Amino acid sequence: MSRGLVALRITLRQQRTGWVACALLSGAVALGTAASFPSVVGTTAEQQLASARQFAALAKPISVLLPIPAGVDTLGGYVQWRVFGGLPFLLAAWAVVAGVNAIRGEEERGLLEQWLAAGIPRARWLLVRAVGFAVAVATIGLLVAVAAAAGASLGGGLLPLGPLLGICATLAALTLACFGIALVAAETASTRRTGLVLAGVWLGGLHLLNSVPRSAGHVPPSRWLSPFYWYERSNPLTPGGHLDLPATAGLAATGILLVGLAGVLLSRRDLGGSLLTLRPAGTARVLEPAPNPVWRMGPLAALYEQRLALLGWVAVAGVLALALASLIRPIVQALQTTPATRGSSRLLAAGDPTLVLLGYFLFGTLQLLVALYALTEAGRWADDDRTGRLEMRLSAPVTRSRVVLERALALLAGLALLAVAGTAAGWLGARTQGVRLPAGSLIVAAAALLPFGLSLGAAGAVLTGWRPRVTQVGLGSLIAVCFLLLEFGIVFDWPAWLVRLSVFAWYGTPLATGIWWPGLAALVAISAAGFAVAIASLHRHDIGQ
Amino acid sequence: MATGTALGAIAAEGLSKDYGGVWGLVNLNLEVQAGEVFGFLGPNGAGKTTTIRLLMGMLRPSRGSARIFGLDCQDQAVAIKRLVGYVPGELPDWGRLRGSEITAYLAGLRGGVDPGQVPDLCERLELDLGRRWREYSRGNKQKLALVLALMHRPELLILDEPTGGLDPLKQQVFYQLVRDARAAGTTVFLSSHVLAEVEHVCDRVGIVRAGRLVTVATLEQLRRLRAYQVQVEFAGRPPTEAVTAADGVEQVTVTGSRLSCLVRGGFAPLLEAIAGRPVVSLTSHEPSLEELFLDHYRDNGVAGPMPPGPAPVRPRPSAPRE
Repeated sequence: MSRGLVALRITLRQQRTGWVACALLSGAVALGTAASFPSVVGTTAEQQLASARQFAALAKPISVLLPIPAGVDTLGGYVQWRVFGGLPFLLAAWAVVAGVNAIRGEEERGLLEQWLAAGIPRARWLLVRAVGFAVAVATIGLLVAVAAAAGASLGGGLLPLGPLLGICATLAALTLACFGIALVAAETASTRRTGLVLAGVWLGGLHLLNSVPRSAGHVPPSRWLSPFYWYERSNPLTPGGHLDLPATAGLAATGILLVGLAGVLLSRRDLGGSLLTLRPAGTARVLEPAPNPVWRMGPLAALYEQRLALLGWVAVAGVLALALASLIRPIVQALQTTPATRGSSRLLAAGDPTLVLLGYFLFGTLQLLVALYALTEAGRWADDDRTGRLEMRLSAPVTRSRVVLERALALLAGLALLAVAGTAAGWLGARTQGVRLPAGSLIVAAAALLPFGLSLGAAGAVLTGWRPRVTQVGLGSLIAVCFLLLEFGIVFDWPAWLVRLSVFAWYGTPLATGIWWPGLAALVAISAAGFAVAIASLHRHDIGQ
Repeated sequence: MATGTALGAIAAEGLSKDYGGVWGLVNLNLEVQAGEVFGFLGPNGAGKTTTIRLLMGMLRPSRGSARIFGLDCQDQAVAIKRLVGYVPGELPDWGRLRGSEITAYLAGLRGGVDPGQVPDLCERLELDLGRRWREYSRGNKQKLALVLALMHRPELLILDEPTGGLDPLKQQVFYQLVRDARAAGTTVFLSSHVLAEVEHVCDRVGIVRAGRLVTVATLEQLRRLRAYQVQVEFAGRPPTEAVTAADGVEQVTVTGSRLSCLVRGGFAPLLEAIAGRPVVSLTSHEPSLEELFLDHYRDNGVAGPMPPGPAPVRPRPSAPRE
């Protein structure tokens, strides 16, 4: 086997976790959405038209996120809007992580140096990474097409194969372009983390460049700079829509050009350095330990170390909550004027629609954020074992029980910050809309996020003490399955006992119907038992193995 | 606290570690006296790091037990770590943290760190704590690991290949630090695969191979074992009989005008034996540690009978370090 093929095989192997996770999630979304068309949109022409009107009304306030729906009274239009309007977010996020990891991640782990030492030129190495990513993206595109077709068939409908494959190809081309952007961003950053932030901000900006004009009503000439603009030019599943082949080819060409640019930039910089290096200020030699007392305060030190990341989480929670709460009144009005779908009728019947919907959107989103935060923290604990930090901590007179308890405390503090920031921003956003939220319910809903996040963290802690290498995959799968169980359970009207298996369901709807005490008790019990088991399993664990 | 010279600093009895079918360490019986500098020698993959990580309570033994200052390495690990300074074989990745932050963090976890000790160590090792871990060279990372191990003036130093990455000048500083620690009564357990390193500082040496302790020797015994492979090219017939009769000269072989032999101790007897003969060339090299010790013990059967236990096997490449 040639060196290039070996490198390609290793490249595919290295990105397999993200690849498999993305494929499963994209496939599940495509399958579930296509299959749910009759139950969400309706089975008669009247129901479908009414649903389309409602979707159009609902989509207006959130047009900064999703494209304006068209022809959603048909299966093709619905799948085009829901699946191919939402999946770019997931795939772009994966492209950012994969692109930055390909350069900065490999560099920080010393793997890039090994590759280059083996005689593989920089440009060729990057090309192999890009080809590996393209192969992964192509398989995901194919899987999405198969899943959407299968879902449509399950729902008793049919999606035209040609247009379906066409939009999947456009989606793959968009993902490749995002990958190229991430590669170039990684070249200009000095660390993996900075690269992720830079690529995220860059792509976020390009998305807004395309989406803000949708709601603002005027189209700036610079909109063509956004790859999302070229992606949205294709809508072959929508009745009367078409596949814009030049735009799709342009996206793929942009991706290839950006990969080439990243290759040139890589060959023009020092390994381990960045293109934009700030000259360090000449400072005196330091011989003393840092005077900041926080470094000597156990769990606070862990929080302080990740202060910038935590700030990012808090900012995201705040901005999302503010945006969702600000949109609540137009959404309620849209639902009340065109109550068409079963879901919306059920929501409106559950009580004060503002409270019900705010609880659903705001705390549903905060739940997801909290779950992702717990997943990130658990990944950090597993990394401590892999990178030797845990060994150094345990070389001090520190018990393994203390390690687990400090992790739990740090997680709790982070969760509290997220919950407070999200809830406060939601309260503020609702207030700007003239919606007054009951303080008691709001505090209870925010507080209930803590045992929810802790229970997931406890599961992560158990996995870390047992097999650190599977922590992120295991906990990530659990979160994905629980989330999809709740979402699809509502859409497909699955039995209550089945939906109640999801840890997301145990949180309940505290803002609308109050706390669901059995669920809350289960979350608290799982948190306590989980961390107790984690202590026991860490005691039995061979550190670094 | 169970410290003092009356007790052995380290005692291992039948200590074994099974990495799921691959034995990293087999039936280790070892005693290190308090105040002693003990070198733990062996080639890569011999079981040095496994032994050290078992002593530190990082790994759970499959069989046997170990005690440090009379305290059990598993059940009383926390009490032990108050007395121990540790340099791991594989340095941790502290990412973006600065040296000063890492020092403050571990000093906070440990407590009781002498405020003057860190600057003193940094001064001696010429280490700048203001840099980020990621920016440190391999040698500077090793220096920081030494600072972290020594900053609380431990009673026992457990050092896993501590001079890796240090330049020769800093290695000398390290040897001096070990001598100073020993003078202050500290016990040192130091693993290495470099013979010259243990010669600099150790009182006794244990040699480990394929997970088994082959022997324990004093430095004096070690020096007696030291040998050089010598090859002499003569202009005429080599003086085989005179060379064979010389003190400390072994394994004499002659091929044409070339004589090869093994020289222990000094070179004087060999030089006397060949004096007056026309020598064209003379080369000498020191055999590697593995060649010297392990071949010696295997060939001469000096090592005691192998302890009962599973057959020794070399660890898998993906498994545990040493």
